[in-house]
Amino acid sequence: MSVAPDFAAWLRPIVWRVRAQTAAAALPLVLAAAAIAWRLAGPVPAAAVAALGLAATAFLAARASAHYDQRWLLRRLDAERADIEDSADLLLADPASLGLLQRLQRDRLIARLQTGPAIAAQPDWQPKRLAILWALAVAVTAAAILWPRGGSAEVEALIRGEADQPPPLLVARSLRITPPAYTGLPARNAENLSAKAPVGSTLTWRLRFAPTPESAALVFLDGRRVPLAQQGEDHIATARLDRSSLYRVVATGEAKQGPLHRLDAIADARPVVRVLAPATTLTTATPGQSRWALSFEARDDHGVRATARLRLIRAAGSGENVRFRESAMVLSGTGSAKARRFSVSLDLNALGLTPGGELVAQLSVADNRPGTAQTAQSPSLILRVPTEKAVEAAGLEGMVQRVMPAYFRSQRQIIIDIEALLKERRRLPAATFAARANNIGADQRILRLRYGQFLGEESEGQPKAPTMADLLTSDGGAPDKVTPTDKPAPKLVLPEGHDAYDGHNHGATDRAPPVFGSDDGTFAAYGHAHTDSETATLFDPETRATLGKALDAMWQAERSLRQAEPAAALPQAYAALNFIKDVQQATRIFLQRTGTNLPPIDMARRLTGKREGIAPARRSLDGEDYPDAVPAALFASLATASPSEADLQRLERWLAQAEVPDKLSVVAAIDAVRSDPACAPCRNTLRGTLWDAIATPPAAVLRRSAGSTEGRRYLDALATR
Amino acid sequence: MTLATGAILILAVLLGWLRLWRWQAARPRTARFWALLALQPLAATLLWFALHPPAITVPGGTLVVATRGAPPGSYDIRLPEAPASAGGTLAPDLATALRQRPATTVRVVGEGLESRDQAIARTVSVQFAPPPPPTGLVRLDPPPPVGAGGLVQVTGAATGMDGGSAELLDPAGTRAALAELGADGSFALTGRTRAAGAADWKLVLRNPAGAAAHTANIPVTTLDTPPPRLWVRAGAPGPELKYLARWAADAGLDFGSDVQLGAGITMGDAPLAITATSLARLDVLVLDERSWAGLSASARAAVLSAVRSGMGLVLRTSGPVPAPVRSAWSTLGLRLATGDTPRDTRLPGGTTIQSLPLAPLGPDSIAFLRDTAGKPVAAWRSYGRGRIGLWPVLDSYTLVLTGKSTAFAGLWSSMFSAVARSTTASRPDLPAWGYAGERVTICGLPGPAQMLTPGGTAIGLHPDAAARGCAGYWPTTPGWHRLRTSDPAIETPLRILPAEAHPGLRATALREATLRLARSQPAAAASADRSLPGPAWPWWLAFIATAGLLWWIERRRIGRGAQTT
Repeated sequence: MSVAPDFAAWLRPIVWRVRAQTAAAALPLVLAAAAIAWRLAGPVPAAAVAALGLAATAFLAARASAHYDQRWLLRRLDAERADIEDSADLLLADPASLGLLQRLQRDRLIARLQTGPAIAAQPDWQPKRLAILWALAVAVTAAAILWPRGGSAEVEALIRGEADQPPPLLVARSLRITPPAYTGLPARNAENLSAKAPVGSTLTWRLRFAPTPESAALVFLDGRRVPLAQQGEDHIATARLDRSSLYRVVATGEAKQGPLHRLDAIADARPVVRVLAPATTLTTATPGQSRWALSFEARDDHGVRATARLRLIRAAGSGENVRFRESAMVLSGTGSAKARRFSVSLDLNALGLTPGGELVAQLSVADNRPGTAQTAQSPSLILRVPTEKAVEAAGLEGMVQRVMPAYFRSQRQIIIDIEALLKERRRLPAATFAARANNIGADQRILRLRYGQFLGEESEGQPKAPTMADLLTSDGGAPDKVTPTDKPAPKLVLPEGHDAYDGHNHGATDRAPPVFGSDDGTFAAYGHAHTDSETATLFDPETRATLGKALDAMWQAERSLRQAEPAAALPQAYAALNFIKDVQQATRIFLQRTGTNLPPIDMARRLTGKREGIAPARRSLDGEDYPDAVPAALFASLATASPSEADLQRLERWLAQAEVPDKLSVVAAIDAVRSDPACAPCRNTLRGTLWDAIATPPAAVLRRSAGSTEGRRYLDALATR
Repeated sequence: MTLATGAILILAVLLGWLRLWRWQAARPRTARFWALLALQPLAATLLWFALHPPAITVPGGTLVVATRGAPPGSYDIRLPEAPASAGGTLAPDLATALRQRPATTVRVVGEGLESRDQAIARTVSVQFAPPPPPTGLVRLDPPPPVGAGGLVQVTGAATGMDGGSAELLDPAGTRAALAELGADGSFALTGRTRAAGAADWKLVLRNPAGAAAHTANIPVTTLDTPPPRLWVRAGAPGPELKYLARWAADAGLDFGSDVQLGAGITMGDAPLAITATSLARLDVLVLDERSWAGLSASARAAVLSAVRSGMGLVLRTSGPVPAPVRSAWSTLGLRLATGDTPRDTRLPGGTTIQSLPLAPLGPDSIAFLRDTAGKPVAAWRSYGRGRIGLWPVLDSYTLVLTGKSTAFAGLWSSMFSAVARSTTASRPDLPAWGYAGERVTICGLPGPAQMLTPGGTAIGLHPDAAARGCAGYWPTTPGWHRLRTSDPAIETPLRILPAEAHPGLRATALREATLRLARSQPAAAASADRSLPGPAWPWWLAFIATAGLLWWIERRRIGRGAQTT
């Protein structure tokens, strides 16, 4: 009776071997997992992961080794050793329950197993697999530990050895505004880094960061950059405020971009002049008025200069013969610099204001801006001294055309005179008739001489200033419908009354009068002529010829009149009038019209009413023509969605060329949205500024909705009812 | 329902018996067999009672419920809106409270019952002593839909603000309109939209001293519809046509016009052929009395048939209207008063135009433009699917000449908006706004749709085709939600205001709804008993016990031992 071998002793190395294999395979995984956990979450979670992993490894090892028990050993013996003869089960059986043969076989087996199980080592170590696992685990662990942290500022600081340096923060700030001296405003400190100040103010920033950054600067959105100079603990910068802009404070090593600040430059306003007296711009002088009181008030945001210039223009004469004299006087203001009063009382007699004349006064003030001062003018104040004549003409003004070319009227007047004389011929004594005809002839002569001046005629002496005799024919001042009977009376007794319309210059008798149409008049004034005086007139040859014919006709008419034959003179006078009219036409200037370049008329199509092939004019404005298409589209989409960068760039391009009252606020709103697209209040602000920037479009047509099928059926039923 | 379940249960019992009979056919009848046979109907009966528990009679009682704004005190039930100072058991809603504490009468203390509780409150009688009416904004009419450049009309009323004023702020926060409150506290404000899209306008109510007393957001959605195709046929060229063309070009309308000078001579664009196909391409046709008279009978028939199928027709006058045209127009239902003397018509907004007077409108005509005295100036009526408008204004172009081109555009825009052919797509019918935590009803949905919350979460809507395609939506977050429909693929914004928005408005609505409930359910039935569905849980317990017993008896080896061994 032999004893069964010690299976447990045989199994022990195998079991431990299996456990070692499991541990060898699992440990690299645990190591890698722990390393990743350390990297992502820190040392404590890493320890937890490692503990869990070890526990799992132990559990797996136990499970794997549990498989290798006595039964497994017997099966292996049966399988691998031929001398066991598939009877290994007998080793476990109770010898007492076995039959004789079974017992015998059992004893044989025990004897054969004296030397040990002698089966193949199970299972195999798999060195290749283990090596790969370990290599992978070591690689993952190394990566987890050594991988740089996404280029963050912290790692960069770590590399530079500033790991413990927090980002600089703005801890103290002040912005001092020193307005230009002329404004008289005191220097002040802004409440925050945004400020409103007059143009030209000096701004001084004093900022303190903790910890102190290497450098800091003010970065303006329009591209300017003002570096901040370090002075002790503070950073200081100074800049002149020239235009409104947005900026932010940028310090090296800052964690995130700071907010935008806004500088508003308040432009110097122009002074404003208000007239206190008189109440109206046009004043009519009362009879006997000798003084004219004027009072002005000038206001400016910073200050009005203490003196102002009063421009006085005196107009004398009437009609075309108005002459102006300009003078100026300096007034001193009273009151504060911001609201000054300028008062003066003008002496009309000293100014030489005569009836019919006008006095125009205008005050010009300047503000105290150094360099280019801004000026403002008051409205022109007019004092009119009435004339008797103006009173007579009242009511007819505007109805009667009082200005007529003298040469044209005069020839016609001669014709009227001749006709009137012819009518009265029978009633008049022959001598009176001849005298009156002679008088008309004299008129005709003077007129002929005047026209002769246009042609440079000198046959009858130098042109001379019109004398009293000229006035007889030059009837410019007379009313339009003058009958020959009442003609002489006003002409003879009122030499002063026709100064405006006759065109001759009897006011300046002391110098040689300029002769209309001749070279010494206009040409001498504006240039010099190289041609001879005979041809160098203002008229072209054709006009000169016509004018010559007119003169001939006048000659004829004059001759007949002098011979007391007005009937013979009448056709000549008419001919002269017609020629003068032709000259008048010729003196009109015809300019080439420019700007139209019409296509040639298609005669085959003309007046047929056919419109085939004619491109219709474009009627509707498409989206590109709507100037606010970009902000309008963005306004709609911003309500619910964040804008894309392309949208914002398109908006900025639009903004660059758009007329927007407050561009800076739009720019600031765009910047806020760009820095945080998910920020709903920022989007709302941008929408608000866009709304302000969009011009109200003309009301569009809102079409009704299609409605439901039932509704359409109802309407159809109504229609067929 | 109860009968159907009963029948099914009886059938199940019979089938169970049949199975038992066949299974045990060859065996002696043991006690186990009879027990199984008897327990089948018992289990069925218990299940039936579990599904339909017998009613119990509740003695009439009164439940005192604290709602929003209830004064401190002790109550039976405190609804979630009630302030914490109100004592009582907190219940999530009135229906739960009534199940827990059956009662026949509910006495409501506070501002009133929320819309959530109003359905269940109809089953009991409600007593409600309304609190004093709220002050501030108590009525706000949602502005009608508007297109770009159109007028936003805000009307409403405020109480307790005598001598105050109402101010409308546009989305940029600048004042668009200012009006004094009327004697009854009502106000009407108008602003002009500048771009399509949804935006919050703001209403500020100021007290007589000028301080802002109440502010309210008014969400306004400016719609963008495809521009209509417009054709004007005139009998003579005139300034009206010129300025109409100018406005149409500026507003982006597809505009064409021809002027029939007679004798076959036309001016303007290539003349429109009045045929069914060419009219089907148009959305609005504008005729004046001369071009109408110049139409042949067949052309008139074609125009009217086009109107019946949806086109808009505007009949405008450019001078005296001849009698035949007058009578032809009156057969269309749009009648001018007799006499061709134009009268000066003062329009709201301080403009004056010349127009021919309208005869009193028929019942099917709708005036869309009225003068300051309220007399209709221009009107339209339905004609089949289309609409016909009568525009007896002679010189609206003078508005442009006097610098009021906005008023000119507004007049013609409102005319064409009223009559133009409808769009092919139907817009879903959304409320002007909703409140967080309150149900929003969205109608007119052709198929499944989605709501996108401000956070971007998509929530499916399930419209009921039988109920006008309506769907319910319970928003929780305030902000702009978007309704996304697939056919056509459009997104419509819906503003959800915070739960505490418009307090006066909502208090008024609650108060009136609860008052209506109190009036419709008189307190006479307050003391009467009433039956309620009884509790079901004892029946379920009994059923489970019986079913468990059945299972145990059937599976146990009692009585089977002989066969197995």
